[in-house]
Amino acid sequence: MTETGIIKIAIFLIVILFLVKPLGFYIKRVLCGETTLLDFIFAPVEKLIYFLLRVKPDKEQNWKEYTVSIIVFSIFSLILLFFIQRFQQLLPGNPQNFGEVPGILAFNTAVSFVTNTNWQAYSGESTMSYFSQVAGLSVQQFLSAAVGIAVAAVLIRSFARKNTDNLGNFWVDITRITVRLLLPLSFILALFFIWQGVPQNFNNYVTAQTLEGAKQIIPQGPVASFEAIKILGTNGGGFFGANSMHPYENPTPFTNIIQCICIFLIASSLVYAFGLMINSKKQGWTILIAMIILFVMLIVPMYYFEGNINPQVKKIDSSLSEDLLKNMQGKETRFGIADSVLYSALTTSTSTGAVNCNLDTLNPLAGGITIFNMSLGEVIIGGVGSGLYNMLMFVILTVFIAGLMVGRTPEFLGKKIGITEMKFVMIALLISPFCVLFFTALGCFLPSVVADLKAYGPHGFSRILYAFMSAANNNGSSFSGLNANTDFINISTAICMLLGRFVSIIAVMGVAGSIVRKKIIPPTSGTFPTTGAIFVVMLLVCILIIGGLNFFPALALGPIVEHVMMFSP
Amino acid sequence: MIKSMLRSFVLLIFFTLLLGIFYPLVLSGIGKLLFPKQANGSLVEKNGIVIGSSLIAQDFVQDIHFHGRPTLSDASNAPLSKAMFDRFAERINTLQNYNFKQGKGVPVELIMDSGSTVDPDISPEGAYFQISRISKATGISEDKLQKMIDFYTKNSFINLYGQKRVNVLTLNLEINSYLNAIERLQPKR
Repeated sequence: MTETGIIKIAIFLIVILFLVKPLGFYIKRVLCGETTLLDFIFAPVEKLIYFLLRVKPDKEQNWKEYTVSIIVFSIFSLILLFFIQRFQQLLPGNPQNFGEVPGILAFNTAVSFVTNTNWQAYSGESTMSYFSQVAGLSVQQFLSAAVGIAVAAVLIRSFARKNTDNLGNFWVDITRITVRLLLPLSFILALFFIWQGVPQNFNNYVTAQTLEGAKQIIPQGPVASFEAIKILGTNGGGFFGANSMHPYENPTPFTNIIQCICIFLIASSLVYAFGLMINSKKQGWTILIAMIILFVMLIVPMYYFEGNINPQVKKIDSSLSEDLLKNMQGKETRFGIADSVLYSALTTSTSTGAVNCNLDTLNPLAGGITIFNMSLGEVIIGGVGSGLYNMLMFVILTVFIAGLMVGRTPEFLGKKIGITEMKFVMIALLISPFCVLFFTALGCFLPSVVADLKAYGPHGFSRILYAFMSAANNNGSSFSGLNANTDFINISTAICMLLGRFVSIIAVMGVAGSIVRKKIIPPTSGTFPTTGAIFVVMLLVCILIIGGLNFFPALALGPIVEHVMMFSP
Repeated sequence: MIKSMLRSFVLLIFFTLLLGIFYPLVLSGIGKLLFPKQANGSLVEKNGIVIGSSLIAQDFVQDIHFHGRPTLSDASNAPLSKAMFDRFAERINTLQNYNFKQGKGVPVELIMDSGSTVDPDISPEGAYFQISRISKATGISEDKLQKMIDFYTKNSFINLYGQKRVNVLTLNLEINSYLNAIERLQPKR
């Protein structure tokens, strides 16, 4: 751990806090149907879409209609993506002549991209045609992100409105979010990536004659366009198997820090937009600050543990100085320790799941913190949209607990929190821990899974735990030692991804549907304040206790035991 | 329900065209126009033949060349893997003997595997470490090699993010052109 590393993290956070306001303001205008910059380009495109869909943009839906639209749209997305992969050998844009993607793998991948998870049991450069990558996977990177933001918008509206059933129109929301927010930002970011060295072409793979006369095959492809939405939409699925470690996806320290910023950008601005839309900027800041405190609380120990020298490595040659023994295993020279830790902390605390170093080879507790980041339900800024709506579930739970303690009916933003809401909140909060623990336990009992691990003891357990944690929380990264392309892992992670995404979306929609009907009660002197320091502390305690109680035993069996073993003589 | 299905179908077709075809194609066009080298993978050509990409590591084994990072040979890379520690110990030993640096500390990125398996860079220290051996093999003075490394060392971004590094292929191209120049100066037999 060095001062420079701490300064890197601090400057990163300051930049984020500066960007949150302007982008949050823009997102608010997008979600509220107001005019924005470049209206003369966007408005005609949207009009065309509304015309093709026969949608009246001002006709709003109630929570059931909205939810049905989301589910139907997602099922269609799944089917389309599945068949694009299955028929890629017949489709254009396949210069390497890849065959069809095997059925179970194609199913897993389709689920993974539609649920914004981007868990990858394949390597892009040896499996997917260019067409599958851009017209299949990349399209879902946009649309799954847009769905997440739309759900968050619905939840925000339910608090901002009163005595109504109207929560907005799904087709309008997804169109505006994609056309006005995701596409233009991706376009700019992709251009920046190309400038820095990320390829963007549809050429054949290049066969090079190396300086020493060997043959080297260099994959090409439309990487920049893919990379931009991968980062902005907190998707995380790489064009190449090596993800953002690969120099074609992340060529310089400059692209690395810009990726870091863009991973946080939309999700954190959305929290500011939330404050604007409910007419209480202070409430927005309270939640954003709680998220950032959690982030700092976890990245600092992670950086500390990763900066430590593994005592077992020291034993190899005790004459070497400590600087020569830092953990560069699985890391890239251009990034080094601090930038790799920053990136890993960011991608596991948002549900991005991109990696710029091999997470499997992190020191045990640093790897443990990546798991813990996810186990909190991706609420530390979190995925685009999903971070905010999951965090609001925790906020409602906190308000409820506080209400029980002072003996008053809990309310949030003037809305009474009743039994219906609490039932939905508990479903939303408990579905992913249930999936994680159930399937991890199941995996440990299956000899075929254990035989595939290539590491026994606590690290093998961590690999299984990581896989299901990542799938159920729609993160998508993995400990690379696990062989993910087996029937059991493909099917079980797909189930986790589907339940983790859609059960919680339906529960959140249920909360919104119930809340929006209620009247807004003006605050009185007895109302429990949901802004300010006390509430931040309550919220953090609530999140940490739930995350801790659910997963501490599992973490103790994996990373914590492994950490202790590191010191064995 | 039926209405939602129709809308889903039409919207997916529309967005597949817009986001899946139009967006990457337009970017490819603009990319090739503004940054042709980068958009095509930063390929390096020599006498009209592609010899690699400056962003993708290639294997160097000859004595006259700088060597890059080792790459993961198997998946046994757990933090406490015995196989991994044995690999490190063997590499330290081999590198010290090979580079005439017995008893000297080996820069860490030459011992530990790269994550991507195609990391094109090493640290300047990692390059300095190989100078004696290369100087002996090529006849280029150590002083000149040192200057070459310093010249091609790239700084971290705004002196803060990332690490100092030097591209292995760039260094080796420089060595090759230097050797060629010497060859040309010598009288033909």
